[in-house]
Amino acid sequence: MLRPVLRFLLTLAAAVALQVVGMRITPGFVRWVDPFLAITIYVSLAVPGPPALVAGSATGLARDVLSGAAYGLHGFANTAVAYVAARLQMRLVVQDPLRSALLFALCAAVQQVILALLIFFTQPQMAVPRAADALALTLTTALLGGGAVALVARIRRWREETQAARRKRLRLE
Amino acid sequence: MLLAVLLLGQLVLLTTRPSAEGSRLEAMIFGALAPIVRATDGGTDALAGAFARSHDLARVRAENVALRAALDAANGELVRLEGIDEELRSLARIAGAVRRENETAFSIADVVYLDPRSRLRTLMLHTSAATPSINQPVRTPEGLIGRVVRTAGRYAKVQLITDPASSVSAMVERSRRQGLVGGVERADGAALMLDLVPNQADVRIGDRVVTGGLDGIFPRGIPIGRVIAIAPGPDMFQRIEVTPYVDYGQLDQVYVLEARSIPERLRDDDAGYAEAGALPARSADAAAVGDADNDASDPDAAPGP
Repeated sequence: MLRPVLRFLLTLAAAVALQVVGMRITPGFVRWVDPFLAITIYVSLAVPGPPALVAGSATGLARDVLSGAAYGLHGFANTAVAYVAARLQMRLVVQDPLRSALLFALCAAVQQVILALLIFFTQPQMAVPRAADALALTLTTALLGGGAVALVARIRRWREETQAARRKRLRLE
Repeated sequence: MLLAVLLLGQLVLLTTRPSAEGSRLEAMIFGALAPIVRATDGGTDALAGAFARSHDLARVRAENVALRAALDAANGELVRLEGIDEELRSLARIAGAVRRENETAFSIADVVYLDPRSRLRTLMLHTSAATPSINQPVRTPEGLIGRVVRTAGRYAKVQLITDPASSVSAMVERSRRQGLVGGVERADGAALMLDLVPNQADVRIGDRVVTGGLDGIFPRGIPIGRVIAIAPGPDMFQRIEVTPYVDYGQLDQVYVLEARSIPERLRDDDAGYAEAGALPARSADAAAVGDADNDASDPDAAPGP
């Protein structure tokens, strides 16, 4: 129980670091890349259910703290995305990175729509995300998600192979 | 159920901000994230600094290479210039323009003005090394030019030896016969006359005439000119015409020699001898000119030595 939470917190810290570095590179980073969203979707796909919803809320609030946007904006959107991703995970069997990337893109598009609606109805002083920015963010989220899925799959395969080789050696002895 | 609670909570945060709860939660999350942000920012700064330092190091290395190349080129140029300097010294020695043991120091001066109205009898110099003074001899590698008769700062006015008012102790180099060289008026240009040389003295056409060193102004041995005509004079002295070695129309740079004035007391003694008739008439004139030039109020009006 503790290990997944710790892993999630470390991933969240990595997302914070990535956002800070990205902002140092270009101020437009937050409009085009959302590592918190990618984490939300990934956790929701990996651990569907209440943990996914909590993770979505946490990443969304962290994003709101860092971005200075209306507090709860990304929290609400990411919680909703976590729910959608968890539902999709329960209905679909997605294992290859390409389809995972499509799923990430779909969830990112959902988040952008939710954000636009939230801003439109609750934050009239804020500007609705531009379509180009939303498209860019969808693409980068898909890339991040697909890359993460592929990387984790490779690591798992390598670990399994290593363990299998170890077991083989033990049997020979 | 959880989804509804979370979404409702988020909506409350979103719509009621800034509430005390919202601020507290925000402060808590911010406090948790701040160290990460700070550490990342510091790491980014360190990375950027390291990159900038490596970039600077590369630039300094490139600059060092360029400076070394420039230094090598400058050293090569220095060697070349030293060679030229040595060559110039050799040429100067050949031209006799160096300081000899019995000759005084000199400085180089530029000829800045030639007065055509006075038939090139005077010229103006500008020295860059030292301030000129009255009676300093002026010469070129070819021969004698004249002496300084007026100064103004680093400028000097020179009375040429071709001036009829000028008189220079001279001698025929081959026979060492002493005389006085002065300028004469001629329609075809500057000319010199060697005077006070007895009729029986050994003088030939083509003889080289140099300074005699007896007038207290010009050092001995400076070339003056060449004998071109000899005729017996009405008195006991020959009329010897000398053409100067120096082409006064082509003067560019000259050498201003250090003055070797005869001490005032000795010069007064000379004047006393002259008044007593112990010296020839022209030598007495030379002594008188020395006094007049020391005044330097109007050198053009001063009689020649």
